[in-house]
Amino acid sequence: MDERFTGKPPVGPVNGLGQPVDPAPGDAPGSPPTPSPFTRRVLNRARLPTGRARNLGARLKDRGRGFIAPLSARSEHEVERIRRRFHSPLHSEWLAAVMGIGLGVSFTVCFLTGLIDYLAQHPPSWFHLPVQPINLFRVTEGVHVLTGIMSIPLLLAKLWVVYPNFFTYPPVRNIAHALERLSLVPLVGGALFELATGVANIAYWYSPMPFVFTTAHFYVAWITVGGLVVHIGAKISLTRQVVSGRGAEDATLRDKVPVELVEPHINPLTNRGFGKGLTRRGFLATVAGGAAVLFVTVAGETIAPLRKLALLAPRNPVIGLQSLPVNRTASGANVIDDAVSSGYRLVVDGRCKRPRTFTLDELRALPQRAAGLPISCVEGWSAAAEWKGISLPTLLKLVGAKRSSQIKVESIEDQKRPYSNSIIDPQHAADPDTLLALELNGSLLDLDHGYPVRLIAPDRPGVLQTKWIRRVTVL
Amino acid sequence: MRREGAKPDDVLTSSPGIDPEMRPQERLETDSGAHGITFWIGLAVGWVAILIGLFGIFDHASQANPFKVFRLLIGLNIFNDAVVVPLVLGLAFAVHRWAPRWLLVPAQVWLIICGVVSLYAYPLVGDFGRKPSQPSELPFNYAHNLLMVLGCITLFCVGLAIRSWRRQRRMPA
Repeated sequence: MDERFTGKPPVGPVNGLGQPVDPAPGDAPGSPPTPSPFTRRVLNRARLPTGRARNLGARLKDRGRGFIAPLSARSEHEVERIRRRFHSPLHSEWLAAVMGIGLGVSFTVCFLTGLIDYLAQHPPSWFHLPVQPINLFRVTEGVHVLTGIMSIPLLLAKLWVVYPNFFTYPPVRNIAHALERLSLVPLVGGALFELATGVANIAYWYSPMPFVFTTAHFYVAWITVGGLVVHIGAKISLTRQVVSGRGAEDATLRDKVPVELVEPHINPLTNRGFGKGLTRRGFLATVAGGAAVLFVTVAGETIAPLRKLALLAPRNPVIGLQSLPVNRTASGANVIDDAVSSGYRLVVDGRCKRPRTFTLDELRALPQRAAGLPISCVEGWSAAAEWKGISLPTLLKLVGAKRSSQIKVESIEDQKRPYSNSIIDPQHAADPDTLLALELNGSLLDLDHGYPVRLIAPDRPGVLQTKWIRRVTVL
Repeated sequence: MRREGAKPDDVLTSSPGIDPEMRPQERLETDSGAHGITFWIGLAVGWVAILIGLFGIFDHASQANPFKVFRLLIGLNIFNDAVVVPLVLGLAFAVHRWAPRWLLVPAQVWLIICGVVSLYAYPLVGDFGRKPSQPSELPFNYAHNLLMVLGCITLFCVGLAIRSWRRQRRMPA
């Protein structure tokens, strides 16, 4: 009869080839090596309910307290039975640790770049993006969106790898463990929420989001990162052990057990698996491959050399009027009549010595400056373009305002609509490349690009590059 | 004699002071001080961040709509655990059960990559955000493009499968 069914302990720990391995520390020299208690319990299921000192059910049973004990013991038995069904080597500590590191890095990058982007889009008094480098916002936004997209396969794979941990008994071992598990709710739910809403946002699919995307996405990011920090605090030592090889799996992998025990489908003669599915490293490579496919097919919306491969990008930076995409159209903003009216005037007032009103012809007669500036959208796409118009410092000098003033620009749009006006900080107002643009890529601004006058400044989110400007106020 | 079904856990060693009846992961966690000072610092810092997020959502309740945000957050959590992962497990089981040995790895690679790419592309292919008045948004035929991408992945996996099949033919019976 197989020794598993006799209840007798096996002779000693052996590996998958039947070779003896080092006994556990504490075994007397010369005596048969003692099998792991865990092994005894797994092999001898009869002992399951009472085998573990920490088993709440067993303790209650010992004290003879009613029906809870057998119920609890039965629960553990059932949970253990479910857990043992996950025998794929891919549900491994090593894989979970490596993927955890990857996700930790990607979510940290995503959070920090998202934080910069949110502050740039909703700038508090103490925060201004610098004027130089002009592509800073473009890079942070691009990195934010791309790392978010590339995190999708990583997150789903990680959740799949650690899924058996869902079935543990008792569900919580102590207060610390309870807090650790509780913090998984904001971490997992928040991470899924962030990626799902992020993808929906770049696809302009707002119906599943009955809230303002930017606000909800920003604050749930804090919740997610909070959960991540708790998780890192709980797992950092374990991760270090497992990845550095001091953990159980790598110890067995390197020293004690042939590789086919850790990865049961690896051929011990060739050290290569065949016919039993992906190895752990193969699984990692596949997940990385999924992330790479997403990168290649999306990144072209902001990285020009990859543009032709951007088959799944929500934007192409050269598709649009005057070879530039449009976010809000003139008809959508309901400004067509006012924008094309012969009575259009640009008012410049506020704290200046000579407030003035300009017709479009007067604006065209002013000294013009050309600048190559990117327009970068919070949805991740960006495109460089040639702009021509009146430099803001020139205009400020003309009306007798200080060069380093804070400026408010207002659109023809209804001022109650979001982003119908924006504030230009003193650094940007003093930069000669901050333009009230009249031309784009060599021709007059199209109506959808902000005709007759729009703002374009270096290193600002696209939503703050106000279109159809009617008033400039020196604050 | 080889013990059938032996796991690497069987030969794990445990550190002194560790309850030998613990599972390997519990042993590792306890051994590595999972709930030591690092955990408590992480817990404190993490919950400060969580509270900032919660405060922000309730402070901007008119925009953030807390009830609907939390419904989606918890709902996605449950959906993943109760629907997505079991579905993937079922699919993986089916592939493992019925795919020939040489096709197993290519099929797994194909399913993982195609699944992830399709999941990302779903809102694009569904054209949920397309507005006729805004031609520069979602400018492509995404169903067509997705098929092209999936076709490339399929070609790659067919290459893997051919390699795997040849390898099986070379292997001794």
